[in-house]
Amino acid sequence: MSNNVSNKIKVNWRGIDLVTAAILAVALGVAFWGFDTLVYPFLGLITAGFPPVGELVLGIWIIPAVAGALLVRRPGAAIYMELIAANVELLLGNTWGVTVLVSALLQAIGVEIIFLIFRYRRFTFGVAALGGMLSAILEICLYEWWSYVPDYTPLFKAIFLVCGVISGAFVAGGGAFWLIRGLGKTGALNAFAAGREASAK
Amino acid sequence: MTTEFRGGVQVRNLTWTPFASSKPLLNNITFSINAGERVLLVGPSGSGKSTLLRAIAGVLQDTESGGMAGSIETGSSGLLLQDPNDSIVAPTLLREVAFGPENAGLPREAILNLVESTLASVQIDKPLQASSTDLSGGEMQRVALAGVVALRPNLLLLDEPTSMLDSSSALAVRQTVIATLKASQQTLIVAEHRFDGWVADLDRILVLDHDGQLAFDGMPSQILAEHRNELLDLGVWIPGEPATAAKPIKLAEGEFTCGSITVFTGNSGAGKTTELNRLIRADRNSETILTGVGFVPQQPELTILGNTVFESANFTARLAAQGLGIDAEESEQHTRRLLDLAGLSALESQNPYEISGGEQRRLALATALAHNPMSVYLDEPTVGQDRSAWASVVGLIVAAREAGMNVFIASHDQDLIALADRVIKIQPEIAMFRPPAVSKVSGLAILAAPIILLIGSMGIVSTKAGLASVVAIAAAWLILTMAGLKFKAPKLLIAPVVGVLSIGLSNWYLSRGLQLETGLTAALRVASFVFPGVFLATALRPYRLGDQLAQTLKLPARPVIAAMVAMERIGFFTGMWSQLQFIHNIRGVTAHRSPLARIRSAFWMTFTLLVQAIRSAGTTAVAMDARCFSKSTGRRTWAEQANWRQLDLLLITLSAVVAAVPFLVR
Repeated sequence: MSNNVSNKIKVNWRGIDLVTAAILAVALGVAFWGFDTLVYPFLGLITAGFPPVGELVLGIWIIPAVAGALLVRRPGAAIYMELIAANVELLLGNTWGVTVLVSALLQAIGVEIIFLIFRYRRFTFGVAALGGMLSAILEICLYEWWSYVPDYTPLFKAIFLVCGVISGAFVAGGGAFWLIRGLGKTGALNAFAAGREASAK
Repeated sequence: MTTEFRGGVQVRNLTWTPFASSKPLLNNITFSINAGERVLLVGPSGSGKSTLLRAIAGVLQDTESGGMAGSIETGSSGLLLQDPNDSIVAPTLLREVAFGPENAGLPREAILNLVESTLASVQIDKPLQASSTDLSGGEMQRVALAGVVALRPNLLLLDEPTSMLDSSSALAVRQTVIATLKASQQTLIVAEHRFDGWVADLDRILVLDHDGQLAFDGMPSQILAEHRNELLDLGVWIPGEPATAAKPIKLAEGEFTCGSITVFTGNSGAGKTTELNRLIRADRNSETILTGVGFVPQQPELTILGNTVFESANFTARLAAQGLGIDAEESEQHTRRLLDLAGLSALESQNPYEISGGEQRRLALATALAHNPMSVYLDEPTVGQDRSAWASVVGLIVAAREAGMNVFIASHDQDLIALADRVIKIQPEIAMFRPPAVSKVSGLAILAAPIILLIGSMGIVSTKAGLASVVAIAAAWLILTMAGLKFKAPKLLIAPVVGVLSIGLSNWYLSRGLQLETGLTAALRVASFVFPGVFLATALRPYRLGDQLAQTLKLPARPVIAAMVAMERIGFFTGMWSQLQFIHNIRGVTAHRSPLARIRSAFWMTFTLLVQAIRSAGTTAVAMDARCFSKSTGRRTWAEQANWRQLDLLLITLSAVVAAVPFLVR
């Protein structure tokens, strides 16, 4: 579409941008909540012996932020979707209570910074992965090290961080990139540039 | 010029080609409608009726992607959609009807007056704080209508407003619409497949054909009489014409006598769907991997599995063939034959999400029959089908009976009921009025309190400080309970318990010197903000929180509203999630219980849920934009004021005191 040629960062949200981002975030929140019974007990068993490895699933919770930026392509979309998804977890019952909103904000800011560096004009796997990585770094270095694992030794803190960053790149970045492309191929996202690019193939 | 179009419509050479489509959906359409005229819009499925209504309402280009040519001139309009589940945006009757007036920036008193008079005009006699969704299908559609007419549009556009309703609920909606028109001299355009009930009250009929062209335009009696055969060829339901006899088809060789068709009927919302789901659960033998059950839910897209139409249709049949040792090729041929009978053979290698809604319904039906189940359960299989699609759906149903299957159907379609061997009328349970839980504390206080506690937790550097914090929290709890704030137990208390324990454990054995106190302190620190937060979250009400974010914190109204509308749908999507689990269970996806099968199932459930969410969001955006959501000029107003109350101040003060405790006793 010709309007993509413009150099300006888009800031005006259409009604459908807002409503789709919000409802998609709610549906993602519901799905994550649904995984709780399928995936979580299983993961708990695996990581019980060495908890830092549990950080390899961190990326799942960052998917809404990266997906928001990839779909809406406007500043604030990552924060918007991540905060809504976090609120859904909160309402359905989650592990960390209201403080999940603090995590969500830190994670989403990481994603926004990367997409801002690329002026909200590059939406490749690489950018998505970088977004997921910075998101994990902010979440772990500014929040989880201090409130969850302050008494780990530096080595374990480092392992914790590396696991989180790997997950940010592949689970959050790769997952969201693949998700938006897959959804776009169904034609459901044709009202969005991201969807039109995927469905035109 | 503008006064001329108060309620009138002038469409000139309108053409609309959807993105990635080679042929226009609306093709060079020209007509004009005078103010006060009442017009019926008909045409086969996929002829562009909905698109035309959206174009006239001025919301098409903002919510869909495509190329438009030609012109539309009209005054203010209101658009009512087929499914009220997509158009209802607020949890209470008051806020639902007030949504348009709020966007238009009317003063609060005026909004309240409008809401009361509009609800009275659609014959909804319930308290303003009653739930907008805890209603029968017909009541919900009348509430949605109230939301559309609250702004007194000059032109009323209705998109299949009664197709999902039983005959008496549909009659009530029609009567309400006609009464509204008589009082206000509005112009009406209504699109409907089964229009028998409307035709006496309308002045004019517009017929669209398969190519999106305007085929006929004139007085209903005249057009229906003069062009009867052309209309039947188009698949239009003509009043008084018996439904087309289902095509004679044979699903299996041999003589079967035990097949039957049972229809559950009753008013919209009487519990037909619930009854059907109960029967399936009772019928399903959990011992066998592949149950002898086929199921088509009300939303047929939920049964999709796989990347092509054929793969999706054959999924369960393939598993069944494996289980019974039947040749895979034989079962594939059977599936192909069914797809052919459903008129889908040309689409076999298409992406099943890309085909039309009517095609998806027929795919789901072919899917349900493909593994030769003993019984088939169909929830409203004929909703929204034109006459030709109806014939192929009912053809498959009759063929299933002939092949010895027991077919159970929930439906209000009289033509389908006429074919049944047994009809069971479901009596509605007496609906209880449940007021939506109004929270005593504001959403902001609920979110702020645990974050204050999080800051306080930084002071928990010893077990002593941690224990002091626990005591302080217990005391605060007691005070809040005495002040009237009751806490419900959270749904998943086990998750935070496990979380806090694992933090304690890991901080203990990954710390320097394996100090027990280190682990205990870490656990207490996290518990001090996690548990209060988890309990407080049960009192959170999204729409109230939205009021505060926008009114008290002055955050931009549109993103806040969209977020709150979405959050109010949480229950809808959790319901869809369990429906998907149920369907995957029936279709045998999780039958092997292997981790791989589970991951595969979780993957497809998530993907299907997200596709449904996006489609529903598209419709909701149309409904919201048609009620001035995006075009609100100037400042939006709010029908209810967000207040800080004493309990909010108490909660915040107590949180601050508790947060200070660990710093004092360290």
